[in-house]
Amino acid sequence: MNNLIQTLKPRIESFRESMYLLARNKLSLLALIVLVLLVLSAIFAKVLIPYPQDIADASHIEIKLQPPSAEHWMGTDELGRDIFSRVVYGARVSLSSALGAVGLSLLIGIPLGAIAGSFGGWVDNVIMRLTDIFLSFPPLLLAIAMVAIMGSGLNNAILAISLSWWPWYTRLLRGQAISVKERKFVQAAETIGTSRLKIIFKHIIPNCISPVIVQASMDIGGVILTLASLSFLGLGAQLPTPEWGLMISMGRTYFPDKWWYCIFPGVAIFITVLCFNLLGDAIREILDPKTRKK
Amino acid sequence: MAYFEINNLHITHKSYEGEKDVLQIDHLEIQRGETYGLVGESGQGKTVLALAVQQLLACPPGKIVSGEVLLDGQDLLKLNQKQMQRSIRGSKMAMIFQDPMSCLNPVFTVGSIMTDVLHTRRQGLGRKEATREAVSLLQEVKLADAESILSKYPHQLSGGQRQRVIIALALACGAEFLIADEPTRNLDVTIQASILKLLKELQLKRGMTVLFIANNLSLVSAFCDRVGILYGGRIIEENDTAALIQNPQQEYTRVLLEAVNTESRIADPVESGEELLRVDHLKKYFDINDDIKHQKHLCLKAVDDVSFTLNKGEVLGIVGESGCGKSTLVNTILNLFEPTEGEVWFEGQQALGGGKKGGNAFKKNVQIVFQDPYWSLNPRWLIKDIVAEPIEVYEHLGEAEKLTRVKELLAMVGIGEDACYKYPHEFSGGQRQRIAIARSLASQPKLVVLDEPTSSIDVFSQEQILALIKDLKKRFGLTNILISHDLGVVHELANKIAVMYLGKIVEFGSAEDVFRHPIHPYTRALFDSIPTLTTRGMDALKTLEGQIPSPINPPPGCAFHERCAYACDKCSQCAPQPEDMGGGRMVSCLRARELAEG
Repeated sequence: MNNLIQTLKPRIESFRESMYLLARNKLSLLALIVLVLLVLSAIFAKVLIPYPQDIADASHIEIKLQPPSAEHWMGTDELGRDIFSRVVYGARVSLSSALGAVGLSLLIGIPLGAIAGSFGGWVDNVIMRLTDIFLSFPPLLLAIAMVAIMGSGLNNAILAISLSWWPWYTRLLRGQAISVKERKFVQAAETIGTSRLKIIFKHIIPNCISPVIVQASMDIGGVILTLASLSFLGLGAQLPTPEWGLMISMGRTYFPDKWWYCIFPGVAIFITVLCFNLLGDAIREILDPKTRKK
Repeated sequence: MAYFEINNLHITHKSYEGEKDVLQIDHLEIQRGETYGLVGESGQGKTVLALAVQQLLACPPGKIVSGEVLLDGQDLLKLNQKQMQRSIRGSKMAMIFQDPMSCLNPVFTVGSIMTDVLHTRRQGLGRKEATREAVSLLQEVKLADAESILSKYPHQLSGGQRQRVIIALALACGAEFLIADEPTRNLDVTIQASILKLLKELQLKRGMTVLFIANNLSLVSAFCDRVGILYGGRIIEENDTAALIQNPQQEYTRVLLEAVNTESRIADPVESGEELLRVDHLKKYFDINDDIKHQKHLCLKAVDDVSFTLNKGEVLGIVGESGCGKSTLVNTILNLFEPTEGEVWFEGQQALGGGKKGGNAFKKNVQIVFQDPYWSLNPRWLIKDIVAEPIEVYEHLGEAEKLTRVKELLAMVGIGEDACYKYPHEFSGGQRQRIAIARSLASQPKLVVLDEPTSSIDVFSQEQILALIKDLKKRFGLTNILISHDLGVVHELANKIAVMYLGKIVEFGSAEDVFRHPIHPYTRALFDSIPTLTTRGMDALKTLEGQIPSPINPPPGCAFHERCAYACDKCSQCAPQPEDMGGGRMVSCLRARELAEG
């Protein structure tokens, strides 16, 4: 127990310092607050939304395409479903899929990059040429092609996005690994006789990870956009899933007369992506040891 | 009134922990034509002072709370950036920064950097005139072949040449007040001496006033008229150079003096045991292919035919300029590099390439302590994991047993056990170096390599670390290899000395013999170019002219003959072989016998 407290103490201290660094930049603090609210509402979406049955196939034709009102804050869609409920629940769909896609890419990208960077030679060559091949396709088109092969659906879209996204992390981590492996503690581990694999996973990766995390947090915005685009094209989430891109796609036939149908999911995408981008910069500052005390 | 004056300057720095005083100078004055030395270690506020005076300090996080800086009666802190740019910086005061490697823009040639500065300062200066001016400046800083240097890029110049270019730039606009911020840091001792001489000469010629910032009292003793000691942002002591050195008032000054006093320290005598390490004709060549010039299979001879033996309990000090192959030699011995040729024997067994198992037993017995304790400890690991790393590799202990061992090791180096659950950044440089030493002892090695063990920590800790190394050496009967450019440290620890030049050991022998009576001309030049506290004035400082030749294309014959003061005709034709001078002394010089006698 005593050990646990001692282990935690530096972490609490470092968390306090992170908050200090974050609070220096008002805009990123705002972004963090908005994102925390968004994540909370995504987690508790089912309890929060006023019309839980509307996230599925319910239909109330009699109140279809109503403008925003006291009962329906963002109006209703062509089946009379509450758009506010669907947008809030959409946060859950978008965030979880984006996290899934980025997480999967990290899972592929980080070990490959670390191995390429620390081994060098032909291993490096094979891995990096592979990433070059993946990077020479436009990511959206690659994802579209993959979904076309695997069949449309949210899970396939996530898989397709991760497959077109991992090479970025591999590249980034490899570059870091090349410089980190020249650090003295890696040489010290070599003279101690620590095994190669342990050096990669316990010495090199933990010291390379910060810029990758920054990149990943900024990418979440981009992945949300890509997912929305795929859904917009009918290749991602399928009806009746309340996905933001899909909602815009459905609503565009009624635009601009029934503007609320497109605009509110659009605003949701805009705010989320903007917040992730703003936060990325703040995270970079927090993770950069140079901005911390020595 | 003094030429340059600082009154009640108070500067703070804002960070996570709140606002901290970094500089608090009540009064400092420098007369016209004087050389004032400001001495203190890193972190004491020297550079902050230099930057603040020129209004180049980054604010925030820095903040100039109060004070005045008078140059010729004009308060510089009252001027805005534009006025500073136009009428002070460059034209009245100039600065020489400490790192010549990074303060010239790598994408411009020296010529365009220089003419650019000349143009900004003097409107209406023609291109030809500017070039002519640049050439004469480069000649003034004694760069041979000034015209060809103008068309070169910074990376094509050596460190010493770059520092000369920077000095030329500082002179370009006729500044009368020069701030030299550790101008010879990162330069080799032999080049350091020539740069200092040049600075002194220019100062006298141009009648400049110099604020010389240094971290080392021996540099200042040769160069400055008056010295101020900066500690914790305050000037704690100030006096004429000679008086300060002879009669220091503050404890800190005394420690600084002790740190550069090589005479008082000698290594403990040892009883050499049996042979522990034997290095036999070790070579490490790096293949370089220059595809652009179509020169294939060029060979960089980083370590070229090195042999020596080391007995149990001895300490071998390896000295030499940077690039002489010290680190490559040690890394090859440690099996981090594959040797091109030659053998390393450890306790009578061949140590290199002996299969995985043999290699591991060797690694367990040979450990290294690196120069920079900040980077030699993984910043993301807890101290207990760092120290336990060798234990995990070689022994299978339970968590509790491991922790006890770690605590024992930490106690041995004088670190409390509450350190276990902290991260490296929570410790000072000296403490980190102790932790690194604890780790190096965790696998119970017989040979510990010390790579500049004290060069990046403050003087207070240096003394303690050296005492600790000595103590542990006695307790465990360790054998050491010490790499250091600090002859004081070598004096204090080493019993045997190897002097390296261009991949070869040019002189090898017992520390006493080599220090008292160096034979090889390079050893002599190396020892002479290091200023000590007794060096008064620049004339006493000897310089070694010329650059270290490229190890890819070493000169024929003796590699040192181009810079050697004793060179004869034969030296350029035939390479000297190590010659046994008796008493375990080896010297690689054709005139070794002659030089040994007189």
